[in-house]
Amino acid sequence: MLIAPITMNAESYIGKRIERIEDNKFITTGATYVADVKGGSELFVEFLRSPIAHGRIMSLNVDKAKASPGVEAIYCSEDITLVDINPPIPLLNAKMVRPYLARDRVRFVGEPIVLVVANSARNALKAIEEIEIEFEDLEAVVSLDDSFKGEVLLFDESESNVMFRSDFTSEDGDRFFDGCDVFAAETIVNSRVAPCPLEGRSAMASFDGEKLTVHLSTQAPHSAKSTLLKVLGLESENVHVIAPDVGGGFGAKIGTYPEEILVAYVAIALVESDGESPNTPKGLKSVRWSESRNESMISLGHGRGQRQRIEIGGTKEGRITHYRLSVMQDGGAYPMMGAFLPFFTRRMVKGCYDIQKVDFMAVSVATNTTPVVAYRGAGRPEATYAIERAVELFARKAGLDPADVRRKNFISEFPYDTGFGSVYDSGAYLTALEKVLDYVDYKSLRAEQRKMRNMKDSNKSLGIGISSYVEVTHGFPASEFGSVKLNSDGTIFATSGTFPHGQGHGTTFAQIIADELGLSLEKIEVFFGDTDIIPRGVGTFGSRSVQSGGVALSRASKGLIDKTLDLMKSEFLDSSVFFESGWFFVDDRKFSWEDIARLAGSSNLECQVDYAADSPTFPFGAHVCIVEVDVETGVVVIKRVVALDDAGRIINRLLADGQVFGGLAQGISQALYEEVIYDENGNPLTSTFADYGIPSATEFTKFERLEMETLTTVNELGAKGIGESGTIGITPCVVNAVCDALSHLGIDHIDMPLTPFKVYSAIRERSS
Amino acid sequence: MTELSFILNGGEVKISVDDNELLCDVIRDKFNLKALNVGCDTSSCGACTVLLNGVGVKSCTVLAQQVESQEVETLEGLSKDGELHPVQKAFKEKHGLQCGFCTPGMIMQGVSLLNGSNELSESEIRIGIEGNICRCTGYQTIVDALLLAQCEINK
Ligand code: FES
Ligand code: FES
Repeated sequence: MLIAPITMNAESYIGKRIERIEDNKFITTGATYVADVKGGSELFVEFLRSPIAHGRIMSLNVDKAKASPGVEAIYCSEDITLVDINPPIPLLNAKMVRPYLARDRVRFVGEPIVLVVANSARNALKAIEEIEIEFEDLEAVVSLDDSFKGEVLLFDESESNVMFRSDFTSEDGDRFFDGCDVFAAETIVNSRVAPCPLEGRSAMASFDGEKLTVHLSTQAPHSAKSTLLKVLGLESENVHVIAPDVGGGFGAKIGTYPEEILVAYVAIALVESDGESPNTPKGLKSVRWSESRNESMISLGHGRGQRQRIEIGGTKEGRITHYRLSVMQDGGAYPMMGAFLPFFTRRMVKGCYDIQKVDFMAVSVATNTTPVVAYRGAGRPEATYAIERAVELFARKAGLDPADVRRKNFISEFPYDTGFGSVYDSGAYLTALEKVLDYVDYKSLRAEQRKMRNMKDSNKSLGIGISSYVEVTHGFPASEFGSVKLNSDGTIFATSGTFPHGQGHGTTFAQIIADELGLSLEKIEVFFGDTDIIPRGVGTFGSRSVQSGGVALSRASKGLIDKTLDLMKSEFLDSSVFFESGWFFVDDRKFSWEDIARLAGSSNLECQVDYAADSPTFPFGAHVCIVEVDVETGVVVIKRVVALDDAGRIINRLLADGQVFGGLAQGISQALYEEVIYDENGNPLTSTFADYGIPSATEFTKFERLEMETLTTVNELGAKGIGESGTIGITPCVVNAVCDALSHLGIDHIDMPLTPFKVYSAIRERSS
Repeated sequence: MTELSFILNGGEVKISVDDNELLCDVIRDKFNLKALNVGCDTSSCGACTVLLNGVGVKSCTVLAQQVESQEVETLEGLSKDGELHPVQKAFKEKHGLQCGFCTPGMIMQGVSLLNGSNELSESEIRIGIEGNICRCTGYQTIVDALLLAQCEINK
């Protein structure tokens, strides 16, 4: 269906800065997260988790724990009748199968082994202390090289530790870069980070003998429902998933975790075994689990975790002609989305540049660490980091200004087929870069940098970092559901299959509907996150929501108008009937939505739409970061962050700012502060907020945001996604800035996070 | 068990608590005031911040018995007669919240910070909320909100 682009005028809500409708509750009584939802008679789940990274379970005795006060039931692996978990994607190693609770073997610190249900979380934890368990240590595989070598295998069934691979397409090998005047290469690490949504995972399930109701902290309630249906073998009408308010996800709450499924499983099992339970009365019980921060740090999926070999070549004038990226991805102990991240990295391998010869290979391997999942950007930040570091190194090798090198190599004609599974829809990469460079007065900055370097006794070095990026949003266009219904009082009730967990779709989508229907914003309620009320849905991730759910609601609004027009035509035969700016005109009379609601009476005025976009969209932008590095202490101070992120049409400027700022903070944080660290035995050293470098307000400066809107033609809103762009562009930008500050010392690269110690060590190494 | 009486959001309350019970749990579970959140186990996140005698404290680090005869205020008690506190208003106006998990603590810390203090600069505000983690906003809009609230309060 081809639909004309939306039209806008001064009254339009779309494009404005509008405060969030949903905030009133948040700022007065607080949101309602799973832990705040009242259950019936309540039981609490806690897990005994593996204290070692790799080992065999030699003996396990839960008898004492069973007798511990308040304990309702205890489950070990053999008590769980579910089929083991297969990798979520068919391309991943199918021999790496995960039991819901560790059976015989543990593969990462934090892996659940025993599930305890008790009448309070405290009693459950006390009972866990009574569990007797013995392990035989196995050598932990922590480094990527050890894993690849495969001397120690994580899964006996698999002959290697490889989870996924994508091979080079060209055979050229050593000769790939033949003919390049300039060649640069480096091995760089895209560090493993923890997503850290401030609300950890949380689930509450109850079963009434027929119907399972699960409250879940998730980004995708309908996908969670599909998973539950499949693994528990229930009928669709017997599973009800409710996602109340969710305290952040950042990609880590897309999939459904074993612990969450077990909570549902236990809710059913307890009812089915009812009568034997000593501590709670018969009848509906709700079983809940809310993870502690420590649990979250070691068993909620991690993000990133790639080692990359970047090789780049071109002419001495600065034209990049060759680029090769080889990736080794740390998948963690079990194949989840993380093992598949290189697939997304491959799609964006070229970045914004028109490079003739490009090659890519990747291998994902298993290690005895927490499984890796999607984290804000998921594979695309890794691609951007690689190419933007590579361009920087190339410029340095060629003795050219990095901005000039970018200018010479941008893709400028669209659509552009990269040959790596992406067709860029629209872009203006050069304009974006020139805008930020003008804004910061790049030339003067370079002059200032030179001046500072000539000041003999200064220990401060100025660094200017640039990055240009393009990314893919709504990467796998899937059909999304939206419905718009006229209530009897003339207000609107809309539902969407996307699921906001901080993004504010309740407001954004209301703006889209209000503009279409010519109504004021207060008349519109948009509802999310209940699979009994919303028949279908996909969820919110990959910056997909406006361009899928938003478009669906825009079309459903149009459909509602058409339906109403049909109704009017049948009411007022032989009259001319049309709709304009919120009014239905019939000859010389006009009707408001309120009038229509009265007229329609009980006839159902609702329009449901399933909309699938034809293709993804490709937001882009340019970032500049200015840092000052103290060459005596290695301390990096961020002076300025300027970000231009172009995601096509912006529906709500206030919320778009929020998405960009939050993304910038996470991206900067990876560059400078955060890293998940394991010791050589696979013990996590960053398992609380006290150990992990999660930043506070003092770590950041005020971000400056420039706007640009290059519309997409993929949908009639002209909108792309903006949820992840900040994170994608800024990480290489910060590292480029720090390396730029140290270029005169001969330092080409330092791996993230650029802590004072690492920077200082790099300086020391060079000067000695 | 200890018999405890204190002022909660302006009203006197009495309750018996375990000796090792934390203030955050008592407020959430016994008084069913669910605004404050528990976001960590190392007193690092500040999502549990409440006012104790007008000063922001992390309620996960306070034993319930310690508040005997003291005044505790949570987000739920902040707006008076339906009138939002300037900090609440400013959070909405400046988009100082996304997922909202840090918000109850952040707002209470903000109130504590602006309580009777002189004009705070942007960096003083950043330092003042250093103990409160927000994973969503990058802090910028929170800082903007507190600057705005400060203007309103000092008007
Ligand atoms: S819960 Fe994190 S500081 Fe209190
Ligand atoms: S708004 Fe989500 S943690 Fe602050």
